[in-house]
Amino acid sequence: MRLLNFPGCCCTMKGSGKAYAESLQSVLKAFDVEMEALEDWNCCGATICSSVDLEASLTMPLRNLALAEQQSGAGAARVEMMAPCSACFMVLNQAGDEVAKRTPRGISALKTLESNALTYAGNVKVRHPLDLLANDIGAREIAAKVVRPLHGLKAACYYGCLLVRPTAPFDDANRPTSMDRVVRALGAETVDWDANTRCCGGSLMATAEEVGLALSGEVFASAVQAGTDVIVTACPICEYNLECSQRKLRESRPGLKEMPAVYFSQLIGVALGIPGAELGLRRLLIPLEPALESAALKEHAHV
Amino acid sequence: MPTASTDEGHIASSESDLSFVSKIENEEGSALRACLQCGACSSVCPVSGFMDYTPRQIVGMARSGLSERLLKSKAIWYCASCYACTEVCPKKIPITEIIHALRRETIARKTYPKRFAPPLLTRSFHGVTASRGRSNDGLVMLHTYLREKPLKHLGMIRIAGKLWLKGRLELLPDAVKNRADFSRLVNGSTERVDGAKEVGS
Repeated sequence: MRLLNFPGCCCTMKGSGKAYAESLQSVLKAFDVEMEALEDWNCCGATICSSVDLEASLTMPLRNLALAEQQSGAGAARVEMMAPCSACFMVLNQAGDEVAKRTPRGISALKTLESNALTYAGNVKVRHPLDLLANDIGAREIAAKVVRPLHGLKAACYYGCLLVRPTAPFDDANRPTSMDRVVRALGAETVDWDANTRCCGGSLMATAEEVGLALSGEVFASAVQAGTDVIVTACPICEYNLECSQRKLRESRPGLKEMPAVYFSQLIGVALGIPGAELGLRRLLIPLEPALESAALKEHAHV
Repeated sequence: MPTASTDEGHIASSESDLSFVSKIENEEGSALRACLQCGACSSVCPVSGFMDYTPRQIVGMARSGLSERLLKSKAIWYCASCYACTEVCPKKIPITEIIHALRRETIARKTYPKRFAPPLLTRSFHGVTASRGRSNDGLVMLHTYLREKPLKHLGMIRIAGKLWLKGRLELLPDAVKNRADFSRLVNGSTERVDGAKEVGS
């Protein structure tokens, strides 16, 4: 099966989420899904451009949906396009909704598109890879492919904000379970914690560090309190904030233990026996292997 | 129009302030006036503790047409756009979008706090993406920090170097195939936002 992919600025081989792109490609391949990049895609505008230019914040994502229809060929009644970043996923969905609901803003944006020789018929369904793995492929099929069960590993599944808000297209907004189901299928244990849908701080880590650190710090502290070995993420911004802020976090909270924060696709890949080089594991600032090894040791001691 | 004071202690003093409310209502298609001032938004907001005005106050002030203080506040720039407030609002007011609308007004009027990174990043990001069609972390941050306090961020070189070694920082900015076409689509025939050209080149 081939699946159209909207990489977005982070999740490309050139972006900060390169490891996410690499591991997704390897893992989906194991389930016979080939990723086909959307040609000439553009930035979705994230949650930022609507703070500058309302119309552009709609034409930017809609251009991608129009290109997706174009690339899928005329007459495609339904086009599925994957968006691995939670912000891209939300923004593309939100733009699609404006068109589907025929809001004045949506209609006006379509006109702008048309005067630029682009049409969008409203046939694109934007999918997050977590939805694909948890709901289309499913825990059973994932479990069947596991060659290195992650027994003994305690994982905190972190959904963050934009995967489940303002709408939760494929999960429960308040008690999401899709990532937990996937991670448990790998043999790991998922912890019950209260920060799984709290915000990591997004770009505040770069612009108002004290605020960003407070937000990521709260997520991190909650994971530590739940006895977590690894934080599992589904968004390049969440992954960056929760992994790369740890050194700074320890300045104000000495003694805070170091904990890897990885993409869910990296964790699946490890359990599927895919070599680390194909999962971008060496790109982590805090390596995953020690956590896996100590979990395996703990597990042996129990048996 | 006579001056009126409100429970938030701010002053509505001009016609333009009330047209400001209508403008936001039109843009968001929402009834700002439906707000109960229940405070659910502030209670779930992860950054309300850092804000000079909480989300409840922001909505309260916005619907009273009291734009001036709001448009100078840091509060609207501390919003992380996590939508926790929107999800919990019993009147379904799109609070996050209202904050974005306030930011647009702030950028148009250039009333945001000076040498304050959040609005600078917003302008840089929009400038780079509207002009190139794609973002580049290094370019966006460089533009932001140069306009904020460049020396404050010298420490970033260390983490940037680390990320570069790990292949997580691309120095060469990417772009869509036809930048002129893209700019025309996004900016229209006239240059609507002054920052776009100057930042993205």
